[in-house]
Amino acid sequence: MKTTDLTKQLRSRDSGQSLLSLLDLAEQVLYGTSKDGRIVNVHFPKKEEWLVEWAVQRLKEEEGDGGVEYV
Amino acid sequence: MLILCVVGRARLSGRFWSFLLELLKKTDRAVAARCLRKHGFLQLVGMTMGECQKKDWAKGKLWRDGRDRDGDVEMEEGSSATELGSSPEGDVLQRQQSRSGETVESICGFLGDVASVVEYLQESTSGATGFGGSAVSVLRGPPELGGQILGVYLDNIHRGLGDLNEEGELNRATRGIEAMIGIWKGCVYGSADLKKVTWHDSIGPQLILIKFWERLLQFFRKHVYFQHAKFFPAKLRGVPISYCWRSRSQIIYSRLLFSPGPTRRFQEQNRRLGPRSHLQRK
Repeated sequence: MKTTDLTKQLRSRDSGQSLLSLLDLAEQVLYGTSKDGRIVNVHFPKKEEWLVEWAVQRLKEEEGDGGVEYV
Repeated sequence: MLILCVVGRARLSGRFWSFLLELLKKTDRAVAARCLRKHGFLQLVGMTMGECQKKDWAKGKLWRDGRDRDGDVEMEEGSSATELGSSPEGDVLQRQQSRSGETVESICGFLGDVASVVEYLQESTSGATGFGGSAVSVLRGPPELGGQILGVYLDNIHRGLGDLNEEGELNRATRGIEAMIGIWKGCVYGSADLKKVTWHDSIGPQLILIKFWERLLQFFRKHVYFQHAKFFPAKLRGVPISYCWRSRSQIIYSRLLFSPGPTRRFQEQNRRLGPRSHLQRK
C-alpha cells in the first residue's frame, strides 16, 4: 500500500467513515501488523509523529459522527 | 422531555485512548508535547470528561479489547480482565463481545484509560521540571478548566462505583484521581489568574471529593468482599473512621485538602466551615 493512500484514507472525513473505524487502520500503521497477524510493510517515516497529530486533531474535531445518545 | 445529545464515539472509546497511550510511548517526547499543546490536549480531556458524564454506560465490567498490550505495566495482579475470564459472568461477557465484535466497556475502565494517558504525560515530563506531576506544560490551562476536569472526573468515578467489584479496578480508579489532581494543581499553581477563580471552580472538586469519600466508605461497609479485608478490624469500631482507615483515597483526600500552595487559603476557609466534622461524627 502506498503511504499517500494511507494518509488520504486516514484523513477522509466521509460521513460513512467514523473515526473509530479508522482506528484499525491506524493500528496497522503503528504496529506494522494487520489484525490477523500479517505483516504490513509500509514506508512511512515519522509515522508516530504524524499519528499523534492525526489522533489528537481528529479526537478533538469529532462531532458525534452519528452516535446519538438519549439523555 | 427527551434531550438528544450527540456524543463523540471515538472520544468515549477506551480503545482509542489506549491506542493514544501506545502511540505516545513510541513518539519523541518533545515532539509529542508540542503537538498536544498545539491542539489543546487539556480541552480534549475536559470535553471527554463532560461527554462521559452524559453517556449512559453499560454495566459491563470487561473492558479489555482483543489486542494485547505488550509491556503494559497497568496489568496488576488484581486486575479484573483475567479473573473475570474464568467466572461464568466473564464468559457471558466474552461471548457477547465476540458476537458483536465490540468491547463491553465499563465507565471505570474507560476513565482508567484516559487517566493513564494523563499519567504517562505527567510521568514522562516531570523529571525535567522537578515539580512532580503538577507542572507539565501540556497539561496546564485555565484554573476553571482544571477544576472542571477534576470535578467531573470524580463525579464519573462516583457514578461508576457500583461497578468497582475488584480491587484492581479500584486501584486503577483511585490512581486516576491522583493524575487528575495533578492537572488541577498544575492549572492552579502559579496562575496569575487565580483571583478570577471563583469559589465554585476551585472548591467545587473538594466538595465532590468529600461526597465521593463518604460514598466510598458506605460502599466498603456494604461490600462483603472488603469487610473481610484488613480495613475493618472489629476492635476499632467506635474509633472515628478517619483514624483507623487510611486508604489510598483518604491519603489523596488529605493531600488535596492540606497541600501547600494556594489551597492553604481554602483550607482555612474549610476549617471555619468544618468540612471534616461530618466525618468525625461517624
